[in-house]
Amino acid sequence: MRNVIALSLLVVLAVAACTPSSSGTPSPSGGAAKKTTLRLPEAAKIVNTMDPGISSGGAGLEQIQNMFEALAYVDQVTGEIKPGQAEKWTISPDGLTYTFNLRAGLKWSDGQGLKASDFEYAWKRATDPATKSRYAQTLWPVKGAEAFGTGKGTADGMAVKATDDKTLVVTLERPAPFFMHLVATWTAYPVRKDTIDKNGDKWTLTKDTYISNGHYRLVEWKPEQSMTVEKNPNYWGENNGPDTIVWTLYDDVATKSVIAYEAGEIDRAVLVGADITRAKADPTLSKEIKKFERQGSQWIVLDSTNPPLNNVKVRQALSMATDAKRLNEVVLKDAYFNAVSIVAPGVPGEKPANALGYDAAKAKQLLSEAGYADGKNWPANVKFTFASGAAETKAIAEAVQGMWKSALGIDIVLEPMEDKAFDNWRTTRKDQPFNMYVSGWGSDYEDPNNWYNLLFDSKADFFYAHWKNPDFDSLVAQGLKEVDPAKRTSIYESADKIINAEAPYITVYQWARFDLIKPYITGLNHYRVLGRIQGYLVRVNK
Amino acid sequence: MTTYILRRLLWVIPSLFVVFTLTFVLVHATPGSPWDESDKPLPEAVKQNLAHQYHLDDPLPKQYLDYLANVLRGDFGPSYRSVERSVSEIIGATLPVSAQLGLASMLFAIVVGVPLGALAAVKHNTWIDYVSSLITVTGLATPPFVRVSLLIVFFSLALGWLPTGGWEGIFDVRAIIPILAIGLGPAAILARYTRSSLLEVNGQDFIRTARAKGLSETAVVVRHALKNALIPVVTVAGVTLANVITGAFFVERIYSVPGIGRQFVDSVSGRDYPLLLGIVLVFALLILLVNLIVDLSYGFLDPRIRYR
Repeated sequence: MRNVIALSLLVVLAVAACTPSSSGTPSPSGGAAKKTTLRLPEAAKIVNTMDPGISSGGAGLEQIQNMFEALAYVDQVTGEIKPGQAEKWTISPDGLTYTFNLRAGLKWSDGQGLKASDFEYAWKRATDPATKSRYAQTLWPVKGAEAFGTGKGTADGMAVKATDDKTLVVTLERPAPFFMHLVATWTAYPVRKDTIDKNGDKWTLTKDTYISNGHYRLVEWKPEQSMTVEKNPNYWGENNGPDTIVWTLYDDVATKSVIAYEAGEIDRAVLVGADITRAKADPTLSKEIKKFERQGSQWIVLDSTNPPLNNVKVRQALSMATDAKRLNEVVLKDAYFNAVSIVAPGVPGEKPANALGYDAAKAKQLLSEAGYADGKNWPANVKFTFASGAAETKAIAEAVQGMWKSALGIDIVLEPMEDKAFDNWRTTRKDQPFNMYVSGWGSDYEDPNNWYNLLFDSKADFFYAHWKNPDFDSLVAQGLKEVDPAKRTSIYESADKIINAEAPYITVYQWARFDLIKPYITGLNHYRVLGRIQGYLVRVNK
Repeated sequence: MTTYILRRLLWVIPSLFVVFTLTFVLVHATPGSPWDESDKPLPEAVKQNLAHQYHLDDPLPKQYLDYLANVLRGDFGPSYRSVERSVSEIIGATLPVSAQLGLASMLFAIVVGVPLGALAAVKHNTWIDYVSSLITVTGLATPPFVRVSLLIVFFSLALGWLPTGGWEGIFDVRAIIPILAIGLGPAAILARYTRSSLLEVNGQDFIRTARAKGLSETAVVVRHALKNALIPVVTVAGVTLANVITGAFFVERIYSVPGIGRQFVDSVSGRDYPLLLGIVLVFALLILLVNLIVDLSYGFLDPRIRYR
C-alpha cells in the first residue's frame, strides 16, 4: 500500500510542479454597459503566420483583415474598390503610374503616425525573397518587383516610392487593369518596421508588438486555442461593430464548431457534409442556416496530352456525360451550387452559354466518333487519382465512375493516395502524364486575370492539365493589357468559349459556404470573393 | 547501483542518435514537402524560394549533418509551418500541458483502478466482480477518441455542465473531460492487473498464515495481500505513465487541448521535419528515462532484485 501512496503523492507533486502560476482568461476591460462580443470559430492552424506580408491567405486571413487596412479595400457587400488608408489615387494615362494620397492623421494602433514610407517598407519587405513570403507574387506587377523577388534585382530597383509622408508613387512593369485589387490584398498591408526589426518573426505574437492599422487590434493570441481582438481607438474611420471579437481555434472547424455552437459557446458555425442534412431537419437549426455564394469552381482536371484524353472528343464526351446537377444535389447533399461553367459565375468573361452542359446522348455519340463506341477499345488503365483523406473527392470519383459506365460504357480505375503523397504527386504532374484528379480554385480578386491568365494560359498551366491553345493564349494576353472594361470582357468571353469547348476541366460544382448563425447576429456576410467576416459590419444584438 | 545507472544513462546517447538518424531518413523518404498545399497550391517560384531559404535544396547528407550539428547545440531550428515559433518553443509550450494532463489522468487511473480491482478480487465471483469486469472491459475496449466524444455529448451537449473544449490549466473545469477520457483506459488496465494479481496472492501460504493468526479480513487484504499484489501493478503503471504524458493525440485534438500529441501528428501530416524530429527526440528521451526509473523501482519493490 505504501508504494501506491508514494506513487500517488509523486504524481500529485509532479502535477503541481508542472502547473503554471497563473492562467487567467482575458476579460474585456472596464465594466461599461453594453459591451458586445462576437464569438467565431477558426481553424487551429493559423497556417503560416499572422504576418500579412508572409501569409498565403488561409486560416488567419480573417484576423489579419480585421486588424489591418490597405490603401484601398474591396467593399464586402458590393465588391467595389473603395478608398482605405489612401484618400484618393490617380492613374497615369498610360496606366503605368499610380499615385496614392494618404488620409490626414492616419495612426497605427499604438498611436504613432502612419506614413507613406510604411507602405514602401512593407511592399519591399514582402517582395524580398529573404522574407519567405507565401504570396510575394501579388506585387510582381510593380516594376522591378519580380526581379527583386527572384533574386535577380534589388529593393532599390522596385518602383514603389514614398515621395513624402502622404504620397506613395508606384510604377508598373506593364498596364494591369486589376492592379487596384492587388493593392487591396493583405500582402500590400503596411507593417511597422521598428517592431519587426526589434522582434523579428515574433512580432506577431503579443499585443505590444503586433501593431496594426485596421478596425481592430490584438488583445491576445494563444496559439492553437484562441485569438481576441478589440476595437482600435486609433483607426481613422467609424467602427460600429462588436467591441471585442474572440476566435476559438479548432483542429477540425467543421465538426467542432457545430458542437460548440449548439452548446452556445460561439455565434457562428461552419457546416459541411452530413451536418448540413442534420441541420436542415432540425426545427431550431434549420432557421439558423445560411448558404452563401463563393466565387470558385471545383473540377476534374484532365491531362489533355495523355491518351485517350488527348482526344478533344473524349474530353467533351466525359464532360457531357457528367451529371453535375445530380452530383451536387444527390451525392453531395446540395452542399454547393450546381455547376455552371469552368470559370466561376461573376468573373468577367465567364458566360454560362459557353458551357458544354449535360447531354448523355451527345456524349455517347462523341465517344463513338472518337473510336470508343459503347466503350469498345477503351484502355483498361485510365486512372482517377485522389487523396484518400478527402472523403468528398472519393464520393465524386465513385459517382462519375458510375455515371460514365452507364452513359458511355467505359471503366476508369480509382487510385487513392495518402494526402501529402497526393499533394506531392500533383506537384510532379508538371512534366509527367496522368489521367485525372480533382482540384478547384476560388477568386483572390474578381478579375479575369485571376483565372484565365493565372491558371489556364499554357505558360502558367497552374493545374498541369497540359492544355495548350494558341488562340486562347493570345486572347488572354490581349485581355491582360486591355484598359477598356467592355472590350476586355468581350476578349475574355471569346477565350472562355475556347476553353469550355475543349474541356480540359470538367466542373463538378461551384463553391458555396454553409453557416449556422445565431438569430441575435446581423450583418454577418461572406462576400463571394475570399469572404472573410469583417467584424465592423456585424452587429451583436443582445 | 551507481555504475548501473551511469551505464544506462550513457546508453541513452547512442539510442537517441539511432532514433534521430532513422527518423531523419524516414521523413525524407516519404513523399511530399511542407509547401505542397492541397487547397491552394503555391506558385513554383515561391516554393523554390522557400526551399532555398530553409536549405531544403541542399544535398540530404549536408542537411543531415547541419541539422545534427544544430541539435547538438540544443537548437532544433525553425518550424516550417509556424513562422513565429521555433521548434524548441513549440515543444516548451506544449509538453507541459500534455505532461500535466497525463499525470492527472494517471492519478485518476490509480485512485479508481486499484480499489476497483481490489474490490473485484475480494468479492471474487459475486455481482460486484461482474460489474467491475463490465466497467473495466468497457474501458479497455473503447478507444480514447470514442470516450472523449461520448463524454462531450453527455456532459457538454446533453447536460450542459462542461465546455465542449479548450484548456485553461489543469485545475479548470475544462480539464475534466480529457482527464476522464485519457484516464479510463489506464484505470481499466490497473484494475485488471490488481484483480488478477491479488487473486494469485490470496491463494498463497502467507495469506493463509495471516488468516490463521486471526487477523481481520481488512488487515489481511490491505496489509498483506495488496502490498505484494501491487508489484506488477506498479510496473504496469510506470510504463503506462510514459504513454500518457507523451500526449493523447485524439483527445487533445478533439477537445482542443494545446498539447504535444496534437503537434506530433500535425508535424507528420504537414511534413514539418524539424518539429517532427524535435518531438521524436524528446519522446525518445522521456521513454528511455521512464524505463530506467521503472527498472530501478523493481529493486525497491522486490528485495530479491539487485543491480550490478
